[in-house]
Amino acid sequence: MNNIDIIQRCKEGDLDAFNILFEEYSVKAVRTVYLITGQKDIAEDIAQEAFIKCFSQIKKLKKAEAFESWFYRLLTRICWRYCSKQKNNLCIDNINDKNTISNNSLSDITEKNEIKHLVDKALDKLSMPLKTTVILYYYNELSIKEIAHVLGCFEGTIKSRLHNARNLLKKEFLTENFEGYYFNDNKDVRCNENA
Amino acid sequence: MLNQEQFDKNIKKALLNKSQDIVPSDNMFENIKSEITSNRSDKYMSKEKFLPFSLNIKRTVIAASCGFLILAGSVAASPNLRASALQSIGKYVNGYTDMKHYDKAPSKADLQKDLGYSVKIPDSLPGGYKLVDASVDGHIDGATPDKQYGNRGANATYSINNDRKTTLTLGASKRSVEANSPIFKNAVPVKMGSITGYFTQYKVHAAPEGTKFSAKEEQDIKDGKEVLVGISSKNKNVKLKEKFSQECALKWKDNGINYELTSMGNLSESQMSELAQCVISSK
Repeated sequence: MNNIDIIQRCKEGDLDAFNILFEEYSVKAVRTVYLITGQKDIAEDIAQEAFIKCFSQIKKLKKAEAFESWFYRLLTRICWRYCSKQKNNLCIDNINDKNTISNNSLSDITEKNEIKHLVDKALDKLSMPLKTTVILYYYNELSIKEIAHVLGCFEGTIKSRLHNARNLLKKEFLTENFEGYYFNDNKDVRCNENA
Repeated sequence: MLNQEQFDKNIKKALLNKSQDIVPSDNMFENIKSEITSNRSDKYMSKEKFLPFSLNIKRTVIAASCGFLILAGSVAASPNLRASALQSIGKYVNGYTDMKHYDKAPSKADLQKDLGYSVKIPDSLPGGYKLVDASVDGHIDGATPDKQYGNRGANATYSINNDRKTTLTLGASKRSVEANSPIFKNAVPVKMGSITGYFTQYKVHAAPEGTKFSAKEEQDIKDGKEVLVGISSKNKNVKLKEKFSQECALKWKDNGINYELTSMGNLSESQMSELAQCVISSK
């Protein structure tokens, strides 16, 4: 059964068909929320809200082929709404992450933590529209056209956001904190350019 | 300096690494399913909340009976046949049912015509509340065939941007059944110009079948501190969760008409009073 049939069944209120859609998108949805919000504890709640909204509004989806971008549109809007409410609150995950980094010497930090920290720090400096564009492009592998549909703006705006985000990220990676470190394409390890 | 292609790959890989530990919980879909199911039943419940639970079942019978009566009338049945039909359902049919529904704010003339007297139903309320729908209901009793749709009342539903959590309902009628509603046992008087209203806050408990209540809770229900709403699902595999919410209501009498404003959100006395004053001052 293809996605178009599944979506048609969902439109008819079939929860078993919706389960198939859920299985396909749930992992990516929860991880996308985590990447956008930076908070583990609410990632599932937000994704859950997006799925509930998806089921209740799927009748409005005209083209079944556009489901993915339509779904991510629901998801990102809920994330943005949450982030705008929470922007003045302290993020528990971030506090923990910072403690982990500060309590260990650089050599003790695992490779993944190091990369995670580096990307976190760089991504956190991006504005929400730039950050979301980067995540949808690199993580969700959506096209420029699809991202434009998700975020409700022109393709030119998305291209411009990607360009700006790349420049800001490059600049951030080349600051003194990360000097000499980059992600090796094959091994994901910390490499010293001088080694 | 990294080239563009390598940079893109690195960002992608870094995002994958960063998020790879995040996995949805095993019961996530069950939660979604249960939420969807309870939302469906909530929609149904919001209209039925203040009716006795047993009457909800009867309303289906009422609707079926009304259809039967209309059919009987349209085939020009004799008065005896009509009376017989009503008598045959009389022991089941006895309660209030909608007789007229409006998708937009009814005009004063329409409302007066359908209701038989004049009430105030504004099309909006302060704070962004817009009228969602309105209706006129009346009492139907199969045992007394000549007194159908008596004791009529008007009802209106408002919300902000159609958000269910912001739902307000306004009831207006000459009947005084609201006076017996237990929730007003704990009401406090509120002065609104020359009119005195009565404001109350109470807990709404959405309880799935088989929920056990403590002695205190049973007492709270009797005392009007808690309103019990029974919920159930057709699908026995779906486990419904108990839900609690805080709601409030304000009632007042204006020009011989009893008004009752109920909020699904927990508004304060002053907020409810402001909304009521808007109803009172509307034309």
